Amino acid sequence: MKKIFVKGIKGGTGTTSVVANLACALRKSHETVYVIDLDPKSDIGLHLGLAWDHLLGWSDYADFASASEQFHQDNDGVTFLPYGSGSNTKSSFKDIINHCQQLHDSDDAWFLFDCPAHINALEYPLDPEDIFLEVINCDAICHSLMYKQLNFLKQSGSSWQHYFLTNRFNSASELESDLLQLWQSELPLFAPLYINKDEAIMEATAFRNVAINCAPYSVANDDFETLAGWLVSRANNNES
Amino acid sequence: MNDLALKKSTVLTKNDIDNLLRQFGGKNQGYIEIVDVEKNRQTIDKYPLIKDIALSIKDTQQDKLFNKSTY
Repeated sequence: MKKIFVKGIKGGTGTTSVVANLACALRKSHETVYVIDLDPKSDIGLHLGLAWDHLLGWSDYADFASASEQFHQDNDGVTFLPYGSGSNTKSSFKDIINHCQQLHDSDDAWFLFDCPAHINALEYPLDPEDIFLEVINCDAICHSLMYKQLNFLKQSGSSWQHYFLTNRFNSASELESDLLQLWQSELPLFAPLYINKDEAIMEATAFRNVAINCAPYSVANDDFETLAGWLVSRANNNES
Repeated sequence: MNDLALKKSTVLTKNDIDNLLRQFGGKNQGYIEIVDVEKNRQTIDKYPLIKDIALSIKDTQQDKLFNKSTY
């Protein structure tokens, strides 16, 4: 199984939309894809067609076996497990991550975990072959947070694949262009690709869908296909 | 008439890369990284917060070199 953890370096970086679009991009390549929502705001389902008033998720059940009935599948075939309303405090996100590895068809499957911004990467049960994407926007606060995070990672001796992924890049902004160029040449762990700001992503969410379905000729579609291809190559490097 | 002897592409060939590696040195790998150091310096100087962070990192790296390739 291939585990991809996606987390915003701060709130509001667009992590959930990255997870939803990436999941569908991988699914279009006929991969088996599971999305597990670890974020208490529990909104991955909104991108994948779940009813707005559906409140239940894994955090409303005492154990993984009973929470399994909350797995849903979208029109593309992406299987996802919402976070829920958190009514059962016995469940922990670490239990969910560990139990996902026991799913019967998980050998070749992709597991995308939508992680909340407030829980640091160091708190997740990560294996050396896992990929952790920390989503950033091109602004000075993210610049500051990335260098702090680099220090944390260096001190912790992290062994997993950790990358900073730029989302909502606006090429018309002088500041964003300056920062992106600086990061691409100087920042360690900087992913060699980025997601451009594209209205299609937000519009797709309003249509309860993802950009690669609603706007197949959009920049966003190209960006997420590129991201999916890059992750396949990263994961294959692990297996070889 | 087009001069076929002239390479119009801006993509570097293997020969170009080998020449650059010979000139500037580098690791034995299939790509070279071109960094506009002057542009980066100007960007850092342009924004006070970025400059502040860059100076702090430089201070803490006097003893242990912060090397991109070690990650």
